[in-house]
Amino acid sequence: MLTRRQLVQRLAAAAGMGAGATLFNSRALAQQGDDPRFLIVLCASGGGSIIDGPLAIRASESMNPDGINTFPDELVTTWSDSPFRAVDQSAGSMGPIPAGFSVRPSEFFGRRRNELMVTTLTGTSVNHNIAQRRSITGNEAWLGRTLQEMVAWQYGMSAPVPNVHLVAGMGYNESGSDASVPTYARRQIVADPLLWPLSLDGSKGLAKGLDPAVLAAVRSARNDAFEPANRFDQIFAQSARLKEWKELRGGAQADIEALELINRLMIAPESTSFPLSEYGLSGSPSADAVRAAFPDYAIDPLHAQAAMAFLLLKYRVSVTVTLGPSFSFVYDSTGAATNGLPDDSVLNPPLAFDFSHQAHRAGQAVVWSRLYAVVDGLISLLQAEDFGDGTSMWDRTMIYIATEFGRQKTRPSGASDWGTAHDLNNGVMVFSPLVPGNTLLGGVDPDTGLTYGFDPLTGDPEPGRTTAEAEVYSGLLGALGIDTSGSGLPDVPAMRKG
Amino acid sequence: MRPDPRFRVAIGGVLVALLAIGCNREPESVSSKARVVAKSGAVWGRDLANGLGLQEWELCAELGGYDCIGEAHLVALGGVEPAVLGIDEPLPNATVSAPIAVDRVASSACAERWDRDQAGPAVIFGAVLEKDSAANREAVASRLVERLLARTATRDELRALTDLHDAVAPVSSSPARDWGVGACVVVATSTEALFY
Repeated sequence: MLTRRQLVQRLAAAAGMGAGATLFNSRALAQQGDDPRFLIVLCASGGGSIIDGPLAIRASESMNPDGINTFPDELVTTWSDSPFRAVDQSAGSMGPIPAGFSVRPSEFFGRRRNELMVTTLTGTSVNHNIAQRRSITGNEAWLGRTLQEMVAWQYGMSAPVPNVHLVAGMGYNESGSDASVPTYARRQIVADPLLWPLSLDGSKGLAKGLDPAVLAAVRSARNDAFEPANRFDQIFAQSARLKEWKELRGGAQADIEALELINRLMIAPESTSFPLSEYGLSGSPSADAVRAAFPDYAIDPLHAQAAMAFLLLKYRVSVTVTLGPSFSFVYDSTGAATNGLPDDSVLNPPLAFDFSHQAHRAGQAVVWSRLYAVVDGLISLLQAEDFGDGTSMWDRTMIYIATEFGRQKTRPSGASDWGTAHDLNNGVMVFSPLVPGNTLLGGVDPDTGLTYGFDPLTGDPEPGRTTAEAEVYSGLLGALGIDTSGSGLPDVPAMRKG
Repeated sequence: MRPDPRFRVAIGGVLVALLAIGCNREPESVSSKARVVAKSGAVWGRDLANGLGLQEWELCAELGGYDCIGEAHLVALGGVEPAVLGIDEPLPNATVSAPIAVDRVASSACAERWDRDQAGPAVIFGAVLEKDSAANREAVASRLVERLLARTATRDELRALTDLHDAVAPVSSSPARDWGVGACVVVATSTEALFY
């Protein structure tokens, strides 16, 4: 079986040219693996509107305050040192859902605005799945390779599962279309973070099973004696599926089991639902911290994903993780109902941000707030985690909030809530010490609600210019230190720190 | 006009010869198309349950409460879960944890079969439970292939399974049991059992 290093060397020989030199140099990749950058892609599924987030428009700034999506001045918190805003708001219902909500993003931006860069963006599709994919490929800007694949390729050669996706079934989770991306860098989907650790060891945690040494002998007998004697295996030896299966049984499996991940990644505490000690398991040493950061882990899949995302990075299982709310309704049934459903009981409205079709203001407010809480928790955990050289994990991490598109900028005159369609014009948030913090690249026209672009070299705002998907893609790769030489991507130094 | 009887005899002879060649002919060593599809967890689990004489829900339960195939490893084994996880199509490729999950399910199920055979009546492991000898291990190996792969084992396969005893014995405190369960896992998690 080939090692990853041998594989990379063969790929280099096969590809010859056309990609960054680092990516085809096994020694350089090994070094990069010792000095990694981490990418968290947080999917704002359904269309997170930037002017309902940090680029909110105050009514007094607009010549058309009732006709476009502006907020009463008194709801908008600003900071004298920052281009960003936050809208604290509440309402007695979420459109047709009789559940009140209250959000206070000013607390979050008060703490985190110095780690935030917003770049405006004008996309090329208002189809959810297509736009999702384009948000991670820059509209196929570099042979259809995804951001996550590039990070996994350059920094993840030594990680057992470099590119993990904790949400599935969306364009954000598609594999790229470049066959030269090494298999190890392609995405692995983890469906259920709470139960997944139980599939990371062949022996531990089973009531009846085989001791590790016996299982090792059994696997060896199967792989090296029984299957080579098996006609099915001989006849279909060239099957790509069988080859993939056998590759998964090989090095990755041994690495995973050696890391004791069945315990280290176990988020759930000892309980009647998870009687860990009864099965010889102990749970993660970091479980208390991640449960405190994401307390709804048991009822909200996004919190469980976020908890797992941190653990995957902490234990160097992965160098990139992708997570986000699904389109499913998530509801906390523990509160006391008053006149309708309990206040703040809707954790995820149906269709996440796309609930804006029914109730734009409520949908955007609740789901943005939900994502801010995840960002806040991840930053806190990563800041507290020593990388081993005096720096924190956070010092080398980027959280990219990917989204499909913005929303229609107009509203029925003076409406406090309304439904919106999709709009190509938008912007994205990036939280990271690797990008210029407290920085807005581009701007927003308060009279139309439309964002405009910036000079990729200087970062100066340029009304009349729009930011392309390829520019955002290239800028993010640049900030992450990915070698893009030979790619033909536009250089966007404005998105890099320093 | 009736054909010459000698001609009929000649044709018959050729047909018989061709038939004999066809029956004895080894299959092509390698399929050029190699189109292989993974069984879903549900299908593999049903085959495994049938082979081991167990009900599907008796195969394996993680932490005593999460059915391995229907819940704990559902998506990794090719299932869907649209309601909560939003996964409404099987994953296109095997996940990194799938081979481990398969080993867990098979270990658990094979160990359950061993325990039940001990209690009797035995379905698979009876010969070894009666006496742990080379001949009885070969009989059990043969039965495993018959029940789990629905065909007769080849000599090489039987040798691979019986040789497992030599590898297990030095690291096991219960060699007969671990060989029996282990041989069962080998067959149940072989590519022939998992793909079609």
